[in-house]
Amino acid sequence: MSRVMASPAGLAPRARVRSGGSPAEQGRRKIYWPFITPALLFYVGFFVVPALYGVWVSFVKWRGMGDPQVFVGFGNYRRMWRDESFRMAFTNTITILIVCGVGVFACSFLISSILRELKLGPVLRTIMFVPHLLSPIAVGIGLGLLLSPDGLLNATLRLAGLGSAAQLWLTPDWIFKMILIATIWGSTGYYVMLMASAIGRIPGYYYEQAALDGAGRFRAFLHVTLPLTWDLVSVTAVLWMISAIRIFEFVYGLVGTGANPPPQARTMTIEVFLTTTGGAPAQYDMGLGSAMAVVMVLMTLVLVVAVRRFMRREALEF
Amino acid sequence: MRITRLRAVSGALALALGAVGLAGCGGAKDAKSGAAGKLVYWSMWTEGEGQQKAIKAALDSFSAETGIQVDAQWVGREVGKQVIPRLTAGNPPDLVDGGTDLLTSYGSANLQNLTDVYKSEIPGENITVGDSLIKPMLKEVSGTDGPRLAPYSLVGSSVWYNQKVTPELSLHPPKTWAEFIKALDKLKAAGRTPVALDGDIADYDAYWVLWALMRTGGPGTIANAAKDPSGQGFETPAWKRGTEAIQQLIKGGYFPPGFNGTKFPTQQSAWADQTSKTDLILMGSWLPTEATTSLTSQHKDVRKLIEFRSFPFPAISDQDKGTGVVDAGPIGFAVPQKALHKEAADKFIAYFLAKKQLSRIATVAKSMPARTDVTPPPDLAGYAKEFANATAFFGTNDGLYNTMPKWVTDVWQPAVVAFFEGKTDAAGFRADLAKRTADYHKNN
Repeated sequence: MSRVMASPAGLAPRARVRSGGSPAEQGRRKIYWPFITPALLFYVGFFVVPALYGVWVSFVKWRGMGDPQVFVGFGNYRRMWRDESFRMAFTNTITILIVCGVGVFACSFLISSILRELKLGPVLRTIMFVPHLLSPIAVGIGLGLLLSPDGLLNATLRLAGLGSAAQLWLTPDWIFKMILIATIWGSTGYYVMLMASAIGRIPGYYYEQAALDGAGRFRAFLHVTLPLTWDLVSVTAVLWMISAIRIFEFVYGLVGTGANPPPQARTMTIEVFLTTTGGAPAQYDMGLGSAMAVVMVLMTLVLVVAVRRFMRREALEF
Repeated sequence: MRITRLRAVSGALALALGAVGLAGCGGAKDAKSGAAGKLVYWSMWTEGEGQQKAIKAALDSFSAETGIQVDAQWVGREVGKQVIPRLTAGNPPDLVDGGTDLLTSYGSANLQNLTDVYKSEIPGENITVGDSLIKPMLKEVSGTDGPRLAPYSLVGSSVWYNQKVTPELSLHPPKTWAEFIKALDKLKAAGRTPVALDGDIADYDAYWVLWALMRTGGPGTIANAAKDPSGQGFETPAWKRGTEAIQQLIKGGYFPPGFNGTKFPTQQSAWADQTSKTDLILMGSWLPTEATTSLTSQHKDVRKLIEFRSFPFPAISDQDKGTGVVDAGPIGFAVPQKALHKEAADKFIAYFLAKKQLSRIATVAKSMPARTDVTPPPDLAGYAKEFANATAFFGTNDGLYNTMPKWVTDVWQPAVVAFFEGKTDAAGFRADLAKRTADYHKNN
C-alpha cells in the first residue's frame, strides 16, 4: 500500500530527470535510438522474425517454394514422434549429450589436473586444443580414413597381434560407437583449455594444505579443485549441452560422403537437414523439419535452465 | 560539440544503411525492368566443368547471332536453393537446368509448359525439338499436360568393365543372370573378387536391386510396392525373382572384403587403378569421367591403364517384363512460369538442341547427349547403344527419388544396406520393406 501511495510522488523526479539532466546526458539520450535502431532492426529482421516464422512453419504442411501452406495444427509434431528415424536421432543426440558429456568432463578434469603438474603442460594443452581449431568436416573425414578397413586403427591392431579385434568400424553397426569416441576425442581439448585456466588459478597452498591433511589426489579434486572451479564447470556444462544438441558437421564429415548417414548415425540436426533441403534425395518437408527444430530449441532451453538451477552454488572467492 | 559529432556520425550511419537497403531494392527492380532482348540463366554447372564450357560456347554464339544479351550465373548443383526463393518472390531467372527432380523441387506449376518449344524447329535443321528426341525420352519428360523439361543430356547406369583386364567380356557379354553368375564364378576361381561396390553409398547398393527389379517387373515395380499402404506389394513374383537373384550375388562372395566399411570412392578408385582384384562395377554413365579425373590426378596414364566398356544388365529370367528398359535420367532446361524473358529462353533451348551445339556435350563435357543422332563419347558407346534401343526408361530408384523422398531415405536405403550387409535374406528383405512401408504410410 505504501508503495502505491508513494509512486505518484516517485514518478515526478524521474520525469524531471528525463526532460532535464546535464547537456551531455541529454545528448546521450538523443543518440540512443539512432545508434540502437540499426542493430535492433537487423536482430529483429534476421533473427527474431525468421525464428518465429520457423515456429509457424512447424504448424503447416509446406514444401517451401511458393506452394500454398496448409495449416495442420500439431500434425507435424504427431508425425515427428511416430517417426522411427526421428526417435532414433533424438535418442542418439541424448546419448551424445550424456555419454560424451561424462567422457569429455572426466577427461578434461583428469588431463587438466595432470597438466597442472607438468612443466610442458602449456605446450601439451595447446597441442590438445588443435583438433578444435580444425574444420570439423576435415577432422571427421580424416577420422573416417583412420577407421577404414585398412586404416591406421585396424593396422595397429593387426601389428599388435590383435587382428581378431579389427572391425569394419564405419558400418552401421559400429558407426555410432565411433561417433561417441571421436566426439570425446575432438571436444576434450577445448574443455581442457577452459578447465586448465581455472585450475591454474587455484593457489598451490590449498593443495599443500590438503596433502598435509592426508587427502589423496581424488579427495583433493573433490574438496579443492571441484568447489573452486564450480563456476566455470557450470558454464562449460551449458556450453557442452548446446554444442552436443547442435552437433552436425563433425558427424556428417565422419559418416557422410555424399550419401545419407544411416539412421543409426543420425543426430537431430542431421535429421532436420535430411527432412528439409539436405540429403539425397532432399525431402523438402519444411513443416516436419521445423517441428524438429522447434523441439531442439525447447530441449536446449529446458536443459540449460535445469542445469543452471541444479548447479547454482554460492561463488567462492579466493 | 562532441555530441554534435556523434549525432552526425549516427545520422551518416543511418543514411548509409538506408542507401544499402535502397540499393538492394534497386537491384530487384532492375532485374524486373530488363530489356526484352535479354536472357538470365542460372546454371547447375560451375565454371570449368565440361558442360559449362559447352553451354557457355553456345550462349556466346547465340548472343552474337541474335543480339540477345546473356547473363549466365554458374552456380553449381545447389542452384535450386537460390532459385526457389526467387520463384517464391516472383522474379526467377529466365532459364534453369537440372534433372526431372526440378518438377518436384521447383514444382511443375512453377515451370512453363514447353509444348510450344517442342513444336518449334531447330535452327538449321528440318526437324522440331520434339522430333529430335527418342520416344521413351519424350515419355519421361512429359507430364499429364505437357513437358516441363527440354533434355540436352542424360545420365544412366550400366555394368562397366575394363577391356584391358577382362577382354573376354566384350567377346561374350553375359546376357542372362545365369551367364552373369557363371562369369563371376570363373573370375572368382581365378582369385578375383569380381564386383566392385562402394557399399557406404546406399544408392550404389540399391542399383543392383533396382536393376534386377526393373528387369523382372519393368518400370513401376518398386514404385507400385512403395505406394501400397498395406506393404503387401513386395511379394509379387517379380519381386521374388529379382530379390532372390540379388541374394545370390550377395551370398556368392563376389564383393571385395570390407566393401561396406570403406568410404566412397575407395572401391571405385581401386577398380579403376586395379589396386583391388575387381573387374565389374554397376555405375552411372559419369564413371569414365570420374575415374579418368581420379587417375589423372594421380599422374597415371589413363589410356594405358583402362579402356571403358559396358554391357546391359542381364536378363533375370525368361519371364522378365523389363527387357530393353534403360536407366536414363534426362538433364535439361526448364523455364520458370514467371520468367521475364520466356521467348529468349525458348529460343535458346531450340538453338542449343541443334547437332552443332549439342555435340559439345559429347566432345567437351564427355557426357551423353540427349539426341541419338549426335555421336556420343567413345567411352559411352556401349551405354549409347542401350539408350538408342531402349523400350522404356526408369529413373533413380524407380522415380521415387522425386515423388517419395522420405520413403527412399528412411525405408528403402536402410533396408537395402541391411540386405547387402548380409543381415537378412531375400525374403527377410521383402518382409522388412513391407513392415517399414506400412509404418511409413501410417505416418505420412
